[in-house]
Parts: sequence; C-alpha cells; structure tokens
Amino acid sequence: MATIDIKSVEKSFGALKVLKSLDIHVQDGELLVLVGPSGCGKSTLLSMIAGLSDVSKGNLLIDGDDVTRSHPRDRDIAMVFQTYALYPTMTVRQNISFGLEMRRVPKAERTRAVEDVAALLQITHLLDRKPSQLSGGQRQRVAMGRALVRDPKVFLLDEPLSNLDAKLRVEMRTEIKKLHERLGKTMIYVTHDQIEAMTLATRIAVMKDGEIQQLDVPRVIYDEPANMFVASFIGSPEINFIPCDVISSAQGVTLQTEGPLSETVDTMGALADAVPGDGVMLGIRPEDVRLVTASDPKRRGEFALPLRIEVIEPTGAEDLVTLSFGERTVQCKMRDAGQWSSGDIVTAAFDLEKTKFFSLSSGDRIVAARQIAA
Amino acid sequence: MTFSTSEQAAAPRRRPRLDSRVTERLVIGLSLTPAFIITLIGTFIFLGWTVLMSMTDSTLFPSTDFVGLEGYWQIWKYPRWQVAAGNLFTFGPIYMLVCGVIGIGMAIAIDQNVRGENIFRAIYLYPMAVSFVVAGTIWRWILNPGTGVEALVQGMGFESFVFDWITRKDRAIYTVIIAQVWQHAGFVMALVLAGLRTVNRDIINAAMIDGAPTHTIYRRVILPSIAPIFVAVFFILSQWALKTYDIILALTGGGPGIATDVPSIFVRDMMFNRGEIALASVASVYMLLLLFTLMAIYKSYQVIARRRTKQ
Amino acid sequence: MSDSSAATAAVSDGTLGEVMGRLVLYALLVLLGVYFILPLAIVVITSLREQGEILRNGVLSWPEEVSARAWREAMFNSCVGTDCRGMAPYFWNSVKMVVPATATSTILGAITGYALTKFKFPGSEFFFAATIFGIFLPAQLFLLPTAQMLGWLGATNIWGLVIIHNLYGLAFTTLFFRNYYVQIPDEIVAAARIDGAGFFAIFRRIVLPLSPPIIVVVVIWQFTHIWNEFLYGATFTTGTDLPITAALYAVTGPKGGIRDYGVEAAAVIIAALPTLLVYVAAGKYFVRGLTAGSLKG
Repeated sequence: MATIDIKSVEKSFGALKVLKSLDIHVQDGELLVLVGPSGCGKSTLLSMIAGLSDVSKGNLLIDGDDVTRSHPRDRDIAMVFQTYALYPTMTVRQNISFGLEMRRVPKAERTRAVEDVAALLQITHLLDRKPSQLSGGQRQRVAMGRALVRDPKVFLLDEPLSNLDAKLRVEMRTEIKKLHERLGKTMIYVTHDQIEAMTLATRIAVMKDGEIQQLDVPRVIYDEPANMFVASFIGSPEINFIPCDVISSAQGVTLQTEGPLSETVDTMGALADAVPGDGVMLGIRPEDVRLVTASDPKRRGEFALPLRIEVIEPTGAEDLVTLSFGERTVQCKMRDAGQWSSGDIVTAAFDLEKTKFFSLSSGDRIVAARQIAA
Repeated sequence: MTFSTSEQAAAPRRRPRLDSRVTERLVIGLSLTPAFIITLIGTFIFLGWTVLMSMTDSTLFPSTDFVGLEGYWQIWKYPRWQVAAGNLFTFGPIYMLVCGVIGIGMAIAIDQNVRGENIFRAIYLYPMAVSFVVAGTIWRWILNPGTGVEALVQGMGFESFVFDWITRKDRAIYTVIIAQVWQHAGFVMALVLAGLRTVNRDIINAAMIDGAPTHTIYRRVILPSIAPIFVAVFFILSQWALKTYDIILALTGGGPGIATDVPSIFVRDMMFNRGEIALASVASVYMLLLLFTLMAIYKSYQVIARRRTKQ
Repeated sequence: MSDSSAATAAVSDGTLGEVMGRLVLYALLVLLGVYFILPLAIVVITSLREQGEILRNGVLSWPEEVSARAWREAMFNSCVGTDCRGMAPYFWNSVKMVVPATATSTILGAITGYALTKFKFPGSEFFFAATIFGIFLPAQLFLLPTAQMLGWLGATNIWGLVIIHNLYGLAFTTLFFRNYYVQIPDEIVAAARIDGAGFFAIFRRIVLPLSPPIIVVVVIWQFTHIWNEFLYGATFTTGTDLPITAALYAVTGPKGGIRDYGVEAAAVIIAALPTLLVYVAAGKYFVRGLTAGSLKG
C-alpha cells in the first residue's frame, strides 16, 4: 500500500501564491498525471512531494505517514528528472547503485539489483559507460533504472520524456505504461503534453494557475471537461469554441451565433433549464463537426452553420479542414475531405449530443438537466 | 544566519526521521561557519576598526579618543599627502590609458589570424605571473642611468644621451607607468581577445557581405559589441592604479625624496614607520571612498547598459 | 581558435598592399614581443655575468664569459639584513606559507561555494555578496587590525601569513567555485539527496569529481598571488621569517652593503621561478583564472 495524500497544500514565495490549497488523494498503484501549461505549479507540487521544496501550508502524507517536513531521503520515493540528472562522473552501473550504496545495501545485493534492473530496461550492455557516451533514449532508461532499483513506495516523474525526439517519446511512453502495469507502483507523472496525460494516466489532474481544474479519469476529462480551460487544454486539434446568445421563446430555446453568418436555430431541450444568463460558449471537438453533403443531409438534433473552407490539411490518417466563420475559425477532422477545396462554402453540422456548453462568465461547463439526472 | 522557517516550528511531527533535515541544515551551517567568521572579522570588523581609528587621535598606539572627522580635513595640510594624492591622479589615468590602448592594440593585432598566436600571447602575458617586486627590481636597473638604457646608448658612442627620469623628481612617477604597463598590458590583451572571440561570426560575415572593409568592421561592428569588456577592463585598471604599491617600492622606493609617493605607500609608512595611526587610517579610508566611487560608476554603467539593451 | 578569429574571413588576396600589411603586422608583434621579453632576458644574462664586467659595461650588454657564481651566492651566501644564508631559507619560507595557505583557502572556497549554490537558504545570496565584498578593497584598509590580531595571536611569522591569505583569499576562491558550481544542474544534487546522500557525500562523490578544472584554476590563482604577495609579507614578518618577495626587496651581495647585480639578478629569478614555471606549464588555466576572476566580480 502506498497512497499519497495531499491535504490543503499551499506554496507561496513571499506574497506570491503559486499553489492554492490543493487536495488530492492518490490511491495505491495509481498513475496520476499532473498536466497543465508551464507555470501552473505542477512541477512545484511534484518537488514538494519529493521534499525538494518546502511546503508552505498543509500536509503531505505518504502511506499515511506525515512527511511534510521530512528529508527527501526519508520519504522512500524515487524521482526521474526531465534532464535525467545522471551523475556525470559515474558509470551507468555506479549511477544506478548509488542510491543503494547510500542506503548501505550490501555489495552483493547491490550488484544483483543493478543487474536485474538493467535486464528489465535492456541496458545491460551500457553498464560500464559514462552518461556522456549515451544517447538521449539510453540516458532516459538509466534514469528510470536509478529510480526502479531502489524499489521505492512512490515514483515521481518530472516530464521524463520531453527531452526525447518525437519517435522515441512515443516508444518510451509505451514502455512506461507497461512498466507501471507490470510493477503496480504508485506513480505521479508531470507533463505539459496532454497526449502523454491521456495515454498514461489512470487519473489526470489538470492544473492552471496553481489550482486543480479537474481531477478524473482520462475519458471523463475528455468528454466532460469541467470548464473551457480543460476542454481546450485536452484534445488536439483543440476544441472549437463559438459564442452564442441564448434567446428564450415560446418554442423553447434559440441559439444565435455572432457575426455576419449568424443563424438562428431552433433547439434543444438539453439547455432548456440550465442557461444562467443570456450568453453561452458552445464547444465542439473537431471530430464531432460534420460537413453536410447532398447524400448525407443535416440530421435532426444537429446545429448547422454555413462556413467557408480556408484550408485543407491532410495528415494521412485523416484530413484537417479549417473553416472560417466571421472572425472565427472552426476546425473539422474527417476521414477524407477530397471532394472539397479551399474557398468552398459548406454546411457544418454539430452533433448536439456531443456539443458542450460553457458559461461565458465563469467558463464552467453547463451541465444539462438530463445529464444531471443521469 | 538561520535556516529554519517560521512554519517549521508549527508543523506537526509524527515521524522521528525528520531529523535528516535538521542534520542537513546543521551541516550546511557548520560548513559555512569558517567563511562566516572570516568574512565577519576579516572584512567587516576590520573595516569598521580602521574607519573608527580614522576618527580618533591615535598615534603610535591605537586610541579610542574620538575626534570625529577632524582628520579628514587635517590630512590635506600634509605636503606629503598632497604629493601622494596628486601622484595617484597623474599616474592613474595615464597608466590606464596607455595600458588600455597598448593592450587593445595587441589584442586586435593578434586577432588577425596570426601565425604563432599562442607564442605571442604567452610572451605578452607572462609579466602577470611575476611579482611586482620582481618587475620593479628589473625595471630599476633598466631605467637606472648608470646601468641601464642611458649607459647602453652612451656606450654605443652617444655620449650626450640622457635618460634619467627615474632620478628626477618631476619625471620619476612616469617610470612607474613604464614598468606597470609592461606588467599589465598583456592582461588587457587577454581580456579583450577573449571578448573578440565571442563576437558572433554571422554578424561579421553579414558586415563583410555588405562590403565593409576590415577596419570599418572593427570600428562599427566588433568593438562596439564588446564595449562592456572595455568598461570592465578600465574598472579593473583603475583599481590596480589605486592599489599600486610594491612596484613603486621596488622601483623607486617612493623617491627620489617623496616624488613617487602614492596613498598606498603613505598609509603603510604612516602606520608602521611614523606612528601616525589615525592619519594612516584616514588616508586608507580615502582610498576606500575612491574605490567606492569607481565601483559606483562601474555599477551605474552596467545598469544603464542593461536598461538600454532591454529597450 | 584561429577559425573564430574576427579577421579570418578578411583573407589576403595576395596583393602587394596585403603583403605589406602582414609584414607591418608581424614586425609590430615581434617588436612588442621584444619589449616584453627583454627585461627577463636581461636578468637572466646579468645573473650569468661577473660583477666587475657589469660595473664596467652596465646591465644591458652581452656577457663576456658565463659564470654561475652569482647563482651560487644568491642561493647560499647573499644577505638579507644580517642573515647571510642566501635566498634558500626564504624560498622555503614562501613554500611553507604558500602550500598550506593555498590548500586551506581552496578547500574553504570550494565548500563555501558549494553550500551557497547547491543548498540555498533565505539570505544565501546576501551571504555570498558579503563574502566577496572584500575582493576589491585595498589591503591598506586592513593593515592595522591585521597587525593587531597577529600580535594578539603571537603569529608574526609564516603562520600569520597563512591566516592572512585565508582571510583575504577566501573571497576569490569562493567566487571562483561559486561561479563554477552554479553551472552544475541542481537536479543532480536533488537526485543525490533523494538517493539518500548527505551534504558531504554529495560533495565528495558528485561535486568534487566534477571540479578538477576549477580546482586547477583556483590553485594556480592562489599559488601565484600568495607567492608574489609583498605587502603583508614585508609588514607582518621580520628577520628570518620573511617570505621570498620581502627578502628579495632587502637582498644584497655576500659581503653586504655593496651592490651585486649578478646576485640580485639571480635572486630575482629564484623569486620569480615558481610562478613562471606554473605559467609555462599551465598558462591556459592561469588565463582562465584571470579572465573569470576579473569579469565576474
């Protein structure tokens, strides 16, 4: 059992609060990803858990023990750094066994542990090299090995893949996921890359400005983002936002979009009771935008707008179509946009089942009455 | 010096192993203790003591009878201090200028893709590795009319040749410049050359493609971009000018008479040979004030330069 | 190095003007070289000449015959005051001063620089600023209190000088090490702390193995400065305790009183030789120390 409890933890530098009263409970065996833009406080939180920077307020518990003021060495954690932080004058073998040596593990045991970890990570042939003789990917493995060898309660990973090139990054991502599943250790993983977050996490904490915006499993974060920030931060290409006015009338609720192409559309029970003011932000993910064709006309329950195609970018697996809408653009991801070309006026239909609405004032998602009921 | 933070005391403690952090802070504290003591005593208490002495009536022995700033006016009545201070202000600027010009010139010359660059550099810089006393002694012979250049030229048949600056009261101070430039010009060269080598090649290439001749590239592109180094060089030279001591002692002994006296010699002599502790302390505090002025000028240049690059 | 020369691209196109330009350039460089090398050459030559010959022909002339007399006498018979044992004992005085003073000030600087960069605490920047504050200050400011302290400690000898060179060398050594250690990534220290290493274990196992380049620079810097230092040596020691620079200032020929240029020249070389040898052997580090020490301050 290795749980982590972050209880009302705060961090401030003088008057500047960089973390504002965070509460997170990490379960045993979980891989929690802290994700957010730079400066959101995710790395600060991680280094506080590691004991590398002081906790200004609140308490940190690892496995039920209060470690708020403990030295890093007494927390039984291991950490993988973005820069790997390998000891440059030591060989790979010495790098990996250093932590054991410092903990006075007998030599024979150390040797065996290093061999085991090296085999696991397939770096046995590198054991006698110096870090400067390794490639980026190899260094990354050594850094992992140094963490693994001590068999700590908790692994902390601080952007461990961001110094690798794109191809290696994907490979190592898969390996880390396999390792986690195999070892079943509690891990906290910091990244600014939402794809890493989505692929690796058992749960994701999306952070911004020192606060947690949403903490949930990846599927929920993606499908039911708590607010506009989470919606836009997770997902690539980004979610489309279209501000709308909500007009209540006898027929129900009407959405009116801004700009010269504004169109009034009849809707939509979902929003009926949940609209707090007279403006909402409509959010729709690119894969949920459909271009209407003669053979596949607008369906019931779709919100449609006439838009102009700005550019079509094929990525191979799918085509990315950028549409313009007054001053705004809307992106649409589809299998094959070959029948259109730039400049065409098309009708884009948004599946209202997949459409999310956000309060213009707070940015929070408006949860429809029936979703609440469900 | 304290390593604990206010929250720490209030924090709940459940584990006994918290001590690692306390131990670590203790070890850091201990490791810095020698530096703390050395700095506190060697710099601040000693400085304070000298400033205090400058405001007393101490003569042969330190006294704590306070006389305020009296000594700071009185010192200007001493002809010897007038000579010493005056010498500093003639010798200093000329030395800085000559040293700077020769050093910069050598750096540019060596920067012309010269063969045997390393040998030239090594030769120009070696005087920096030699002590002032050695330099002063060597130059004393060369400049001595009886044994040096004058004797040599006269021996070659030019009987009327005279080069006796080192024995003339109105010229002796310039011989200090000759010797000290010999010792420091290589230093200027080393710094400027290091600066020249950091100038971005692309900028130089761009200027050449624009058709600028070499001397224009130096004047308009390269030298302006290492202006901060020039300022640093002149700041260092000004400090050295202020601290000039051993080389004068070895070269002229401060003479003839007191012709080559400077504040640094004045302080030492008044303090240990003449039993004028208060007077010597006043003189040394004047040196300190001059140094602070130089540092203030240098720092304000840095601030202004930084602000300008930001804009 | 020559690739990065600012003028590399201004290659000679072989015109007469270019060739003349290069000739003038080399003539200038050689002339300057003569100016710098001549004084040393003169001392060396003088040390090999006979006294009578020097008095006849002056310092600046070629030796008629080479003699090692001056060297022998400078080493073993020349007088400093009334002590006519030559420069040898004073040379040893300097060695006995420079070795411990360099060692202790380097070690102290390394540990101080390490603690101030890798274990920062509120006020560590101020601590650093205070530590290096003394770098620029003229020694004259400290003469009186230093004299009183050494008198009180009864250390007006070589050990007194060792203390002084620690007092006034620490600022430099700390500055050097600090500027070097800020380049070592903090993550490495963080990783070692998580691995369970303490302050000194990290220093010994991780930081020190990275330090040889800066140690060489600092040792050379301290060695050169302490060896060449004159004011403290001449002020705080007397008689047979003088370091070699102070002894050189007072050295005379074996009979005392009479000026013996050959002996003085040999003494000058003996005094200058250790630092010159260091310069020849490790000039690169000497220059690195000069440039780093003066630009970062």
